[in-house]
Amino acid sequence: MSSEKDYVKHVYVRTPNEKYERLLEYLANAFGGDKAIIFNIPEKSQEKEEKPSATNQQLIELSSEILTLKNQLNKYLKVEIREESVRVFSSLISQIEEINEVYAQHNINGIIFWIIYDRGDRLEILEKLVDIECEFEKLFNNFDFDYRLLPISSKSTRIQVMSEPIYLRK
Amino acid sequence: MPLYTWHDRKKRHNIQANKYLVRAPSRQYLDWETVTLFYSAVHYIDSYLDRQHGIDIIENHRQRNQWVKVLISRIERTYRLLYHLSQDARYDSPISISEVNRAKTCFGEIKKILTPVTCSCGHLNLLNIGVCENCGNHL
Repeated sequence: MSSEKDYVKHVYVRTPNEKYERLLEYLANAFGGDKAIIFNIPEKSQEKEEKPSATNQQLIELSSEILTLKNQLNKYLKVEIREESVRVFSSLISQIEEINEVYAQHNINGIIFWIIYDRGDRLEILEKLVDIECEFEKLFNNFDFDYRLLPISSKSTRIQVMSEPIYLRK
Repeated sequence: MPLYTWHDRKKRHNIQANKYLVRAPSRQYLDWETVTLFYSAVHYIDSYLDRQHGIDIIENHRQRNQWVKVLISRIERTYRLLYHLSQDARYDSPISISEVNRAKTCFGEIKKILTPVTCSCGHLNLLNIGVCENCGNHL
């Protein structure tokens, strides 16, 4: 069985604004301090109206950032993510509309998303995610796609769960 | 005792536990209803993997998920959904009756496919895909 240091090498956090700064600090400490890679995405612009919904736009940005992150990860780790697969993944995940925020953590074995939602039915979102997961499984070898759905009301749970490394759940 | 026999006992035990919880006043253990369904499914899968493929060591959920993907792809989506419903039930906000009902549907599908059926030709099909893998007759 792999040890903790084998699993958690880098942390990827997507955050819409500065109110999560404390959380970022917490995560940086929890997942390896200076080894953590943290992105703080500025709050979305409200200038243009004719663009994809904020949620979808955020997800598309997230996917492109996965590619960026892949390059950074490859400096340290042998993580194989085909760009083609990421594009398919991007297209699939943009179908999820009933969510507010997506956080993601990479490690050498996969990616885990924490999806915070306050609209729609959890079961409906889960059904879509399982479809995506099955598709993801076809595209990637030895790279886990995992997720947790959290209602927006459970802020304390969110922090608690986000600090939980993926290996604990395997 | 073959390992699959133990899994068969364990799945029956979990199903009994599920029935017990369903009868609880006000259905107050919806989370554990879901969990018992999931672990019943786990033992259906492990029993099949041992009996059909000789896979008797499964270290974790990740490994099982991979075996399901490769060897029992018919139930992959259903099993993954049940897996996540069970996780939500254990760790996240309260699970709803519609989610429990969905978990029950998932379990029913997995149970149907992984319940061995003997064909009229005498062949024992460990995977029930509707037709006998030996003679092609409908099961």
